[in-house]
Amino acid sequence: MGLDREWMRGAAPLAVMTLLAEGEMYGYELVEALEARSGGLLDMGQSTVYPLLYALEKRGHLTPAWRESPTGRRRKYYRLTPAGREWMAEQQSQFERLVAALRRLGEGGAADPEPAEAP
Amino acid sequence: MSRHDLPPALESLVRDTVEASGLTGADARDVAEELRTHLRDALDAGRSPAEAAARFGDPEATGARIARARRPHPPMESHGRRRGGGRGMGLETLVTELRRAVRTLRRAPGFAALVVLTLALGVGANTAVFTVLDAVLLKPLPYHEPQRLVQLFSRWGGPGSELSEYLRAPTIRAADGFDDLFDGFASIFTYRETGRDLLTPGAPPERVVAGVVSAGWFEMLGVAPQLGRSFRPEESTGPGEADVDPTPRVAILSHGLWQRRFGGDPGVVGRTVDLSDESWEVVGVMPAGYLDPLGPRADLWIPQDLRSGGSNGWSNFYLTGVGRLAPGLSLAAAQDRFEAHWAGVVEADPDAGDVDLVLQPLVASVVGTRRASMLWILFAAVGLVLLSACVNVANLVFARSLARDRDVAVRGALGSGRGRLVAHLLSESVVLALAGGALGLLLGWVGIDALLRLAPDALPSVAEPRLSGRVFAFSLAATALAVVAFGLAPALRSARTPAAAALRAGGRRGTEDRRLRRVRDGLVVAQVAVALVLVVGAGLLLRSFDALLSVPLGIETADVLTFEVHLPGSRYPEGADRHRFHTELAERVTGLPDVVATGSTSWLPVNGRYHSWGIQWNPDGGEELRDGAWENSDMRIIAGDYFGALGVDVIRGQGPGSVDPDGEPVAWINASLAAEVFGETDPVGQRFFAGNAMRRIMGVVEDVPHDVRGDTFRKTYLLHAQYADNRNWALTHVVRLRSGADAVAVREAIRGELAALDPALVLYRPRSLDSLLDSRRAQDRFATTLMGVFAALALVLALVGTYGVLAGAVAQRRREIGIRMALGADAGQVRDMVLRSAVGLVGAGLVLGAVGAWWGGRWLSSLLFEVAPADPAAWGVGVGLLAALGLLAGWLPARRATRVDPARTLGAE
Repeated sequence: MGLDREWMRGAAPLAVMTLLAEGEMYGYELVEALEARSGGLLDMGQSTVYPLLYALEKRGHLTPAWRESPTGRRRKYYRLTPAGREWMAEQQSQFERLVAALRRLGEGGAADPEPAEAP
Repeated sequence: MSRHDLPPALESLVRDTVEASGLTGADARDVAEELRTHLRDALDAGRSPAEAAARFGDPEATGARIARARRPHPPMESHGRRRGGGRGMGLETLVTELRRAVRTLRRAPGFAALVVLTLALGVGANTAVFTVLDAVLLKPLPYHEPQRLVQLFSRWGGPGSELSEYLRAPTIRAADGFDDLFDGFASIFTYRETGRDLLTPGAPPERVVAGVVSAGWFEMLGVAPQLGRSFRPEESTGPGEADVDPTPRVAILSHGLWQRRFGGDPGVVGRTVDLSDESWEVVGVMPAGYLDPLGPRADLWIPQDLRSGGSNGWSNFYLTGVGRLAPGLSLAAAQDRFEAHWAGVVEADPDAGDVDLVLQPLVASVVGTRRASMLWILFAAVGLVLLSACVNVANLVFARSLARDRDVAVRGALGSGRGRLVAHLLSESVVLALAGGALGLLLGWVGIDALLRLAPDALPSVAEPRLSGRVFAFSLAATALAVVAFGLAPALRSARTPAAAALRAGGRRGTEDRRLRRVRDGLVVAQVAVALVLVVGAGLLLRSFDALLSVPLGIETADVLTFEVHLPGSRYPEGADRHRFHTELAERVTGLPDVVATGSTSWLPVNGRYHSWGIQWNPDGGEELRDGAWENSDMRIIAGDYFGALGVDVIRGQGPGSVDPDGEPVAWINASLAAEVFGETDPVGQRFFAGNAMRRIMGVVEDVPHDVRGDTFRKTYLLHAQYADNRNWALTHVVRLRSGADAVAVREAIRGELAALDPALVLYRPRSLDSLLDSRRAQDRFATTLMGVFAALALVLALVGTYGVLAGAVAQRRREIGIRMALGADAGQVRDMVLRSAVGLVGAGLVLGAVGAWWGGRWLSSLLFEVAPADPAAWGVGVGLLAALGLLAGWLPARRATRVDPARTLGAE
């Protein structure tokens, strides 16, 4: 079972940036890694990944470079820019705060059959 | 690694995506290369093309997202509507779709060119033939309320007998008095030699054609002169007696003559012109474009003398009568009323009653029934060509839509609405049809010109085909029909294709495939059938034309030059003067180098019936004329060595050369007259009544046909030397040249001799006898040529269609063929399998076509000459040609099938 469209839209940039933070990657590699390492949850097609990469590139978070790969095929590799790195750190921190907050909300009312009233 | 390594379906995904993004130049190349690399990586990783495509997503949506990501200002149209699946299809969508379709087609130039060309040929041929049909048959005659115009015919021999256009002057006068029946009734002189020599100062004399019409002719047609007036009643029926009292010498000029000889001078009205040495007053000028419905194309008109007396009695049939029916009167009611009135005329004057009178719509005479059926048949034939073209296009589009099924299915699966998909596929057809229609219109334009050039004599003179709005509408309708025929069906079919079925690996969908193949097979069968109908039709016409060319005419037509000389009555008043002139001219011409023999006649052979008069012969030898004993015979007035110059054999008695023209009146008759009138009696030496005198028959000559179909009629030949006084005969000189002589040089030498004799005379209509024959065969040649062209088109279309389907089938069945070969089938068996399906398709088409051709052949029989609709040669060639074509179309795919490599085909799965 995959993510809702809205979640995906929110998570995708961060997911891509997170992978690229480990080192440069080309599009196909990125798609495969997203699927494999998210257990299929962040399975994105080209129709999502490339527009996203171009958008991040336009915002200055990524920089691309065409290079010959070890197999001899020319590929377009993406890597983070310093600004991208900063943005990613900021996003990650926001995300962690969000998850923590949601979790706290959940812990408070998980046992109750009815939603808890605000104190 | 080259970009061509991607399977076409994936390649098209990439292109569609980039196009949808609207990116251009380096940006577009960058994105395309990246997407291709991605897909190659996916294939290398072991994914099937189908999976790779499914994971790729909808190219339109992707393209739109890429556009938003890469361009500062994304196009407005890519918002919302694209994602919504296109329920609404506004103008904007339509324009987008059409633009897309043009882009897509530009990437398949071979396919697009083939479709557009096929359509253009069909539409173009249709437009051309329809224009001619429209001008000749559908467009009303160019007169006021033409449906009210009728022609009056004479009929001897009761209902069902042949109608004759010849009427008598008193008939015209009487009919013009039937006021509750006609709003005007008038006549035109039926005979064709109505020329005058026009002399204007400072220009050489010109032979002009005069239309001799009774007063009221133009009013009856509803046409008024552009300048001046038309003829007044008294100019036809005024005081005095015909042939005795002079007629007013007034003339109305045609627009063409007015421009050509008088520089369009409006002051010409009231001036006098010199016509064959007589002064005529110009009283009017007709508007440009006016043409008489019947008769030759006139340069000017002069009034017909309808006064009684002289030659205007009940025995002289020489006028053609046309009337305008009173409003609301049907033809049948008019005929009844006419007969009621006519009974009164006959009661008053019993001489009037020896012939029936019949009314017919004028349009039937103008067009002619044989010509009308020819045009309808050609139209049906060209319609079949268009049908075949549409079928071919449907087949091509089917094949293409099959190749794109998966692309379409992916879009469907990703949420493109069905309406949008239909629009997408249909838009391609619309673009193709519009391009084909436009090019077809252009071809039609050229085609009309070619048709008119091919057949100046095959079409009635009053019809002037022009590409009109009506024709354009027809062409557009034909194109639209083609769009529906080839566009909608595949579009709906594709849109209906279940996405899952299309996406299944290898694209093999059993039931759907079989159904599709059956549809395509059906189209090929239809094409072969249509082609057979046209080829057999063309074969029949060709055989018929061949028969026409080999009709024995009884004359030697090669190396014969003919020309006319008309002598003005003012300078050559006496028959003896005219005869002396013609004799002297003939002697001068005979003296020219390369001239073998000369003679002259009042009417050439193979030029139609003419001067049909009565003769009488009494087997008992009596010379009293008896009522009701008249026999019909065409009269020919001859001079010089006419029979010798034409190569007509005198089969009994003696020729004219050894007869003294100053002796008793003599005549020659043809074999038909001898057999039909004289029977067992030897006509040579008999006396009979012909040409107003008792004459002795000096010889019998062989029959010479009066038309190119070899029809002959009884003929009586009289000597001009003995009959020149009867009227101013318009003699046509016949000059036999030495074989291989330069006809042009001889013609110019004759012109010189004529000028030496009388510089004011015109060498009129010089031409070879062969060219006269050619013009008489024009209609048959026209039909044969066109049908041949149509049949050739249909053959090519059928070849392309059959080949396309068989090649497509082989490509589709590669896997099956691979398995068969892996299981031990040898190349021969595989080849036979493909050839068998070719034989099956062509065989079915031939059976279906045979039914159509049999039916069409019966319809065609009205145009056929000495060829049965079931002619074995035409059928044999037609069936043989198509069978050969089927084998040819099957052979190449069959050979390709034998080259299928089982290991590679199966491994690729």
